[in-house]
Amino acid sequence: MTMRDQLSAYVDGELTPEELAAVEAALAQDPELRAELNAFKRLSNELRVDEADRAAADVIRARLRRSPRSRWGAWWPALVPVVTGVVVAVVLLWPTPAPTLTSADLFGQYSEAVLSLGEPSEELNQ
Amino acid sequence: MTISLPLRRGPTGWWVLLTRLRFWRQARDEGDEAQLVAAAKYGDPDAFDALVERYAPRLHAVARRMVGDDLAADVVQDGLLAAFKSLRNYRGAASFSTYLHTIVINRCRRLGPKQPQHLPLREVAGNRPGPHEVLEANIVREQIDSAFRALPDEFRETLGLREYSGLSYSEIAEVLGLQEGTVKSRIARARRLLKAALESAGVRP
Repeated sequence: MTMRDQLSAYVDGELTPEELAAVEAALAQDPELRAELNAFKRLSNELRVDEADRAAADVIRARLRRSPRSRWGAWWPALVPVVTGVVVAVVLLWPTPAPTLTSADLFGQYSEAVLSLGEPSEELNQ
Repeated sequence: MTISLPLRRGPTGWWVLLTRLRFWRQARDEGDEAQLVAAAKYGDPDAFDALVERYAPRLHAVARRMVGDDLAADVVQDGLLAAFKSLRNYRGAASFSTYLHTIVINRCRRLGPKQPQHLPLREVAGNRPGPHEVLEANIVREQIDSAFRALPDEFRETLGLREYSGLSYSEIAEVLGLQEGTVKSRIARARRLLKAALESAGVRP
């Protein structure tokens, strides 16, 4: 790694304390190195996000807001209570089906009917 | 960056989620990135929008210098959409900035060899309407931008991620799949190439 490579990393604040000390010592002694450092700094100031990038970013943002995913994201919290309400309503209002009679039920009903008649009278026995 | 989410969805989990929603809203107002990402994962469109607002200009600046002005917006939009669709898979191992830049840079690379994006430096300077019509500073900026776009791909993307997106060397290494030392030397080389190109065109950076 040359001193000029280190100079670039110096502009970016990416040097270790030891490297930093070495570069600063070299800068103090070498005017050409200082000129190069200033050129790198000026270039770095010029290379930045500009108005065209910000304008394009606004367009991208607007397009993404209209995208189906964003719409879903905007709507799903509102759907939660609606879906919950529908489920509760269906459970409560669902018509209960008429119970089907089994043979045990029929036998039970028959037995109750017989018992309710009471003992057969003497006349019928004769 | 650590993102903790209420993954349990019992009564306690829902309560935690509701509590988090309050924090997310607050984070959105304060711009806390980790919380914004967490909220976007749960489908909060405002958090998603806040992250787009934060990153789209930088991503566009880099993409524009890689694929040209015409394609950059589409590449960034497509990349952002893909990033947010797969957001559930993002575990926070890398910074969110690195995650987004990796997706967009890969899309730029997939577009393949680029067409020339600009006129050569001398022509740009010669075609200007005249110094009385445009500020000199703008001409210099345009020439620097033009020289930047003329750099070879590997130098342009490395220096672009540093200058336009402000990524650290370790983040750039992660995005491009390089060693940090390679990033350091590429950035230094890119700056020297840029300076030499401008000097040969009579522009003193």
